[in-house]
Amino acid sequence: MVRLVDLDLPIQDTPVSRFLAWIAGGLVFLAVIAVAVAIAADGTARRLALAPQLLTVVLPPATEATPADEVERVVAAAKQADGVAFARAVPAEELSDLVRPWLGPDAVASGLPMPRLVDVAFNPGREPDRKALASRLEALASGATVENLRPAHGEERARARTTAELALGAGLIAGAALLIVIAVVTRMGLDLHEETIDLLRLMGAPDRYVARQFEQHALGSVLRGGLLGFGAAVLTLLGCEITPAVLPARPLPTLGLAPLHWLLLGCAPVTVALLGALVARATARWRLARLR
Amino acid sequence: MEQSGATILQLEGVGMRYGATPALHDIDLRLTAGSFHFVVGPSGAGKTSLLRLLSLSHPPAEGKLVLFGRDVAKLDQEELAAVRRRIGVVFQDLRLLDHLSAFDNVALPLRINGASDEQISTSVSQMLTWLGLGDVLERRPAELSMGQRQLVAVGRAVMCRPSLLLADEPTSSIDQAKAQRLMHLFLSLSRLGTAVLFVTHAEQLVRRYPFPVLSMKDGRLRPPVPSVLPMSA
Repeated sequence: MVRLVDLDLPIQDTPVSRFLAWIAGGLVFLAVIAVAVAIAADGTARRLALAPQLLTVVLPPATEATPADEVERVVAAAKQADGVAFARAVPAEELSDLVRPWLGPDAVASGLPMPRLVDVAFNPGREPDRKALASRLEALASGATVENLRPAHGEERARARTTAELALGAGLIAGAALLIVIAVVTRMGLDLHEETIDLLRLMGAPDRYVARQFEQHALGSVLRGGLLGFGAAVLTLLGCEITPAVLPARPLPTLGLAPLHWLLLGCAPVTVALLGALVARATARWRLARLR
Repeated sequence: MEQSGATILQLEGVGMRYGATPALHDIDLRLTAGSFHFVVGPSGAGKTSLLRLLSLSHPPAEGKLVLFGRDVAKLDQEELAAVRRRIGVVFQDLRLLDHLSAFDNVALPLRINGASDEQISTSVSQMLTWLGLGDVLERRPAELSMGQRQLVAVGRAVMCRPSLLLADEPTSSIDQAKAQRLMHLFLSLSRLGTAVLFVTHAEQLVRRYPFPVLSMKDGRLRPPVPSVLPMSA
């Protein structure tokens, strides 16, 4: 006759204890979602930090006096500027796409005088010196200006970092809340079963024996609930990964979690269960020392 | 298990109180390994209080209590637990755990002592079968008769073959045949070196065995007197 769970105390029959697995499930769900969001936002911030800074050189519309190789000379000069990764002339089709919302599809073809554009990309982490580039190119092409037509990454990156920090904070708060719940449930269990604990002690049970009962209960409940919560979180996250890919409008960004991230998230229920067991043991030992 | 004749328990001028109310006064007592004593006295004489004192569930208010050669006042929690593991107690109110089966109730002392599952399974099944409870192993106390519950309580108390057995009216709810059987069990333990303190109201039982009788009145212990009749079994 081998018992599966070695509990002499009816801890699992206590109303609050019965709900511990569900509470653990809910909080682990929240913690895993929060940490996943934190990982995704951190990844976005890192990607943005590595994204090249783009500037656009705007040359006035070509006239008869404009040299034929003016754009090529600007591109070559831009390529030699400090920190520039690449430079290229924006093709006519791309230009046409850019002005289409305002001027219609035939704006370029109809012979409207259109500015000529050169994209200049800087190496990641390099802050472009816009003024120096502008004065250098101005000498080559009269009226050339250097514009920052793309949305700045800095603000986006700061937003992603804040999101990551907030989400990580929320995950940690959910984990901490669970540990507090375990401590409270353990404390209540000790008070509710004081008579039985007295009997066990009278039979020679040391405090570690009684504390182990609470530790095992916490470990079992939190692991059970935690795995359920983790399962629900995985389904939710997979939904978030798949939904943007199948929807034509792509209203949501994908989380882009790597296998290592999934592995880290998978450790959450086990880690929380082990920490919960430690908290239950410490709470029980602390309380038992005061119950003498 | 102590050697026969070795001092198991010694009380010197021990008093006990429940709050401000005195329960025991100036108790002097010495029990040796393998000894068997009856404790008799009217209700409220202090018999149960004496057992509470000796089972270390209530501390002495004065005097000195020495168990297995250790002054209990000087024991730390671990040592106190170790001393308690050598004491078997049959409580008057039985104090069985309602959520556990008869098997698990009897197995408790073994679990506390760290016995293996195999050892527990064998020993507890044998004990319960010997007590005539072989067919109710998995029943909980609420599903047992009063007599069966009392037998489970006795089984739990003797499971680890204690050095000191304190039994508070262990035969009060069982028939004569079962009471005889329990007495046989207690006597066997006594012969193996357990000091037995047997609280009872049953004069017939006391008369049947040639063991010293400790009489209590108003929280005081009278000197032991030998039982008058020879042992019948």
